[in-house]
Amino acid sequence: MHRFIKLKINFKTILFKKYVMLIPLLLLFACVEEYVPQTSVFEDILVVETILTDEFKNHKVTLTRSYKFEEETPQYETNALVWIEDSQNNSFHFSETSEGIYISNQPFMALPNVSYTLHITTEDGKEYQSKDETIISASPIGNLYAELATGNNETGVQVFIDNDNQLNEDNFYMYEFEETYKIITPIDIELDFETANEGQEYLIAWGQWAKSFDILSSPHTTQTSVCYKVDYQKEILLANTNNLNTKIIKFPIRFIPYNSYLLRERYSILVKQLVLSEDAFFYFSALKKMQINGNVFIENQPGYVKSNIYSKQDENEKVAGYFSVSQMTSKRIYFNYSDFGFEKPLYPFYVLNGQLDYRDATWKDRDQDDRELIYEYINNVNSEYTIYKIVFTNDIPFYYYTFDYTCDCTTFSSNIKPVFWED
Amino acid sequence: MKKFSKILKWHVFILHLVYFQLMYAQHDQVNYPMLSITLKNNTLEESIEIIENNTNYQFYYRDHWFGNYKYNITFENVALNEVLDKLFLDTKINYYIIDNKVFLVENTIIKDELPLDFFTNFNKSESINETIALKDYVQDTDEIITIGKENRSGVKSKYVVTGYVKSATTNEMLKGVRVFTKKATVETYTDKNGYFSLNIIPGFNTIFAEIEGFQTSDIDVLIYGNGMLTIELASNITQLDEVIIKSDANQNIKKVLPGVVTISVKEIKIIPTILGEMDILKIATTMPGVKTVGEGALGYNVRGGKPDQNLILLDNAVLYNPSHFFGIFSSVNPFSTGSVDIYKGTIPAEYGSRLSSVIDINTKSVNKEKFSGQGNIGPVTTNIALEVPIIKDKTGVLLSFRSTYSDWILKQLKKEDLKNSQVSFYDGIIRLDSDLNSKNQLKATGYYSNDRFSISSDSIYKYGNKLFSVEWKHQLNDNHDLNLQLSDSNYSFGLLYEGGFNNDFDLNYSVRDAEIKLKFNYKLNSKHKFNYGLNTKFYNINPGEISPLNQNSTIGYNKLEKEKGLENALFISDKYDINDKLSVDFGLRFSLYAALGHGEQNIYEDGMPMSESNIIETVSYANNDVIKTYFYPEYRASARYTFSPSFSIKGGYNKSIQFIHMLSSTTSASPIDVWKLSNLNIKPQISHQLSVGLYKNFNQNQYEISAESYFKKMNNTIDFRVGADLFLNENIESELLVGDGKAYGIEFLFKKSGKFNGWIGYTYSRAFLRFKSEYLMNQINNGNYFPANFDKPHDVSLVANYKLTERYSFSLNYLYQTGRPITFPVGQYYLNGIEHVLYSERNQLRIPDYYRLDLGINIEGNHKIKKLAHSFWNISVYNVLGRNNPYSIFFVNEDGMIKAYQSSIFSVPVPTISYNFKF
Repeated sequence: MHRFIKLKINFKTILFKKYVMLIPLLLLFACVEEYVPQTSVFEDILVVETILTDEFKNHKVTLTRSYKFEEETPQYETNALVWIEDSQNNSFHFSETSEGIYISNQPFMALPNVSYTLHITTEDGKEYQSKDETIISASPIGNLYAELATGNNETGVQVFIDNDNQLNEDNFYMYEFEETYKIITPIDIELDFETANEGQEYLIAWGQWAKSFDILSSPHTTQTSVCYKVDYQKEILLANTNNLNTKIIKFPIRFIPYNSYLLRERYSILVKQLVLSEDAFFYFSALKKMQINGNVFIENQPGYVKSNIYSKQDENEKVAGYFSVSQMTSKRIYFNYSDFGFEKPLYPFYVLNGQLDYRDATWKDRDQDDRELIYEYINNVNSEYTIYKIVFTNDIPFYYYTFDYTCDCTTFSSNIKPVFWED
Repeated sequence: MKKFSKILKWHVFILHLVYFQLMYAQHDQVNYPMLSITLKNNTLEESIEIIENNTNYQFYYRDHWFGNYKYNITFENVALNEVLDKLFLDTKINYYIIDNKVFLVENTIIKDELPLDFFTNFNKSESINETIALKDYVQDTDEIITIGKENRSGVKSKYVVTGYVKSATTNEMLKGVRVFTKKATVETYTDKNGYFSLNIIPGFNTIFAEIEGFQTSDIDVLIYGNGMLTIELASNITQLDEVIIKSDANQNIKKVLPGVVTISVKEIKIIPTILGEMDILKIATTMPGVKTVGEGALGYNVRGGKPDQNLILLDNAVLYNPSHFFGIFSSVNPFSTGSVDIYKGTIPAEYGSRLSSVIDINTKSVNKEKFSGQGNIGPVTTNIALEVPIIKDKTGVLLSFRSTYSDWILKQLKKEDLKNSQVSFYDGIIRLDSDLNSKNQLKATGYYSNDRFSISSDSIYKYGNKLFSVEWKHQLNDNHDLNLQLSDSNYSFGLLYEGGFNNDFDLNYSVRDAEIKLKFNYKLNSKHKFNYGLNTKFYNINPGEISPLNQNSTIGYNKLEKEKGLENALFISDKYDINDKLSVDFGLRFSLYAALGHGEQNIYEDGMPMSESNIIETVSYANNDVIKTYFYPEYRASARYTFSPSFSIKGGYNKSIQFIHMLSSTTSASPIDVWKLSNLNIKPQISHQLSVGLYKNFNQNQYEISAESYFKKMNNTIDFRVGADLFLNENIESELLVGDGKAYGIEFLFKKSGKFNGWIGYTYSRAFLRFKSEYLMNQINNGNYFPANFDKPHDVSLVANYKLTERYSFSLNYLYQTGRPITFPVGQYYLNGIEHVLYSERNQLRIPDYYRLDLGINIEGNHKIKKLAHSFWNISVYNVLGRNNPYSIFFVNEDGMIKAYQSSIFSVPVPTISYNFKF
């Protein structure tokens, strides 16, 4: 059998990883400055994000355009015609469900020994087509596990993947993960509040007007204290096997520091293994390499990486993205901090617990105008705060407030328990 | 009145003095002044003084020839020659008059004391021994310089004076010394053995020997026939060794090969330093045609070639990495360097295996007479070189060592992140010179360099060269000599990664070559000079070895199979002087390369790209089995036509083959680039170069001007698919792109010597590459020519040095270059949750133009000769204008967001003081 080695480690990346550059003495004179590149020459190209797997489902194609450095987000390529043809003369058409997102009209899956091509006709009439791609089958994802690990002066949990590659073939893999973690807010909302019966403004002190209103409360019914948040990876993970590295062992997927709030309640990670063709592997590893491309002295040669999607009118037109047809297998695990003997991680924010007094309606007493704030917090006027309970002291009501995200996790995540979730 | 002892500032050895004959014939045509003098009890010496006072003639003689005889004689209107005839009638003294000089010669003394056969059997090879014998003799007698023996068949119109020029202090044979006579404007230059040959008309002549860094010698001689003369030049004792560029200055007109730059370590002070490091190779980059990608870039780009296409030799052994600390400093110690020759046009046939140039660095020959040394203390390094005689005048050793102390400085810094970094390097040279006897010379050199640096706390890089070479020179006979060279060269680098997770590892790479070369120089006659021989080079590459650093590491031990190759060559060249004006140099080199097993080689489907899926079979080869052979003839031809002694035209054609390739996926070479041998799937690189040049000197060679132009084509040049993995990749050919290149340019150089000296070079040059394939993935820029990373069309360099007084000199260096081409971001895009940079076509845009001005002052210590050590201070400011020259622009993805950085190496003026001494 032929040999093929592609080490999992990008050596030059290691060099540049930690600090972009810190070479002493000489570098007292050297200079590295961050700057905002001006897009003096801008190339507007089509970006295709899709992967056709052997899952029977409605597959998705996302079409965007490249954008300038000065811009925050890409424009979507809308109103395009998107379809996939296979070598058995089937066509699977896609419809745009939201801007730039095209979902297949029917569920289907990539079958072995059938080749697929992606076709796109943009609104301005340009036709794009991918090369024929066929699914490559390989050993399914192996063991997914988490271990205590220490590295770069940090202790935490390292998630690894193994693939024993029982078919013993030279294969190329891309790993994708999505992590889900449970959130329990430090403060629960006891009551919901609203204002009513707003009165006329009256002069409460020299130069300051106040307004009376009633505060109505009702039991808090929506569930806002237990949520689940889903995050996706921010890097390309690639691995391969060959007859020297016949197995994938302890391939690192994700590292979570011991004090990360992700571990505070419960954490789950789903890892997908996608089997790539050699060309697709080259494509993504080239993109990965260019993610970190230099330091003061060495600059990796960057460039445009040729996609397998090309314009039918002009083969040299640049297109970003790769149409890969891949076998997909996945695994999920759960863990939390106590599995590794860590102390319970703290919240990543300060737990504010303030009180407001309706009677204080002026700032002339060298204090904030509590009444106005109560009004603003209840009615969400320019406010990041929520009033969550009343406490009566000597029959006087005090309104407790805190940050929205401290008591309501739906502000940044979902209170719907995912179907897969196991507590 | 002048005495010979005053005229003869230099020891002059007379090697051929047997009989001589005064050429009275000349007297007949001359009208001598009429004298009326009275001698009363005057000695001969007094009488001569009287004659001198009464005429405008000056006499040259040694007074101890004269007896105590007193003259009492009166001359009335008698011609000078008759007066002299009378005075010397009864003495052994003869005289010879030329212009207004009267030379008195006592001809019989020498003849009496030397056996006749000593001279008749004399041949060049014995000269060393005999010189010593003669030296005492000459010094004792302070004899006058007459050259040649009587030729009874009559006086020829010209005689040949041959000999050597050497340094009086080190005995080093001096190369490129201008030897000339004023009288007939004959001139020549010594070759690399210090040998010269001069055609001189008979009679009185003054022979001058001149080279910068030494005091000019003027020797008055009387020529009676062919003979030999050894001239010793005293160095300007007040000066340390200095580097002077004599880009061929001496021989720029006469040499046959076009495109040769010679730099000799004489005037290193001529260029302001960076951080006090004198750097002879940096001086080379101020010459047209020799460039670097940028300030910190490793390697040199010669005439549109890549950095791996230069054969860098240090005393015949290949120096794989000529730099310390990326490309900031050269790894060649300036104090142990003698000279650097760069062949960028036609390469002599004896050299092969690289396409673009030969950079031939020679360490300096050892002073075998007395213990001496020099040193430098700068802000980055300390450098010391010692020359130690072991057997006086026979064997000596040169030792030099240079080391940084930057690590020590780092430890003192308060900044935590800097404390974790380290940068250190050192290098050392030992050279042994031994003159075994007059026919055999032995030279051995050992060199070691080591670099270590760490940028982040988790990884340490280390790399270094190890070289060893021996050279034996043997004189077969007058016209034939032999040169046997053995060399062994090793370059290795390693990476130690200790991140703390499960992927700690130790990675190592090394390349080694061992060479044996046998070379003969044969002078068939005055017209044909042959240089022929053979060499064999054995390459042994350890292409990568990785091992886990500790038990936790899941990195498996892995070692790629060694690569071996054998490169053999036969070469012959003939320098043929067709006539006085036209000379040609034909060279032929046959290169036979064999890639050797062990090894496995993939065979790919014909006409398909070399990717894994197209492998048909993998063939295994046993140890030393021939995997593949390549045979190529290489042609090297050049010609020179001199219109006048100061004006010539040259042209040349050069074909070269290269079997070892540096694989670099970065925009400039790096110390951790691997070298790869040609094999079944990687063909050798081939280049063809045509060059032509015009050379003109003015004002006694004080000004030199030249224009050279070239056109070069390269085949099978290598590049990589973007993002290629070059480490530990057995199927590296699958990531490789094969293309061709072309380069052309015109180079102008104007040089001036003297008190105010320096040069201005301007180069217009282009270098293009093309990677075309029927497979779009294997193309760059759609298969069109694109400018190479080092394509900098306009290049101006100015180096000027002004010596105000003996103690103060000023230097200036200005450099302007078109910004190098880069692949520039033309937008970004969002894919799989991450921002990516969209790049332009390869090298479509350029970074801003580069310019830099450096200034320096050298302040010499006082010039008392008896002082223990001579010293000077060098104060330099690098990048006086504080120009922030961008070196690179790069992008880093931080948490899915792209950050752009621009780097520059020396963005502010960098002042430096260094102290240099010599003893």
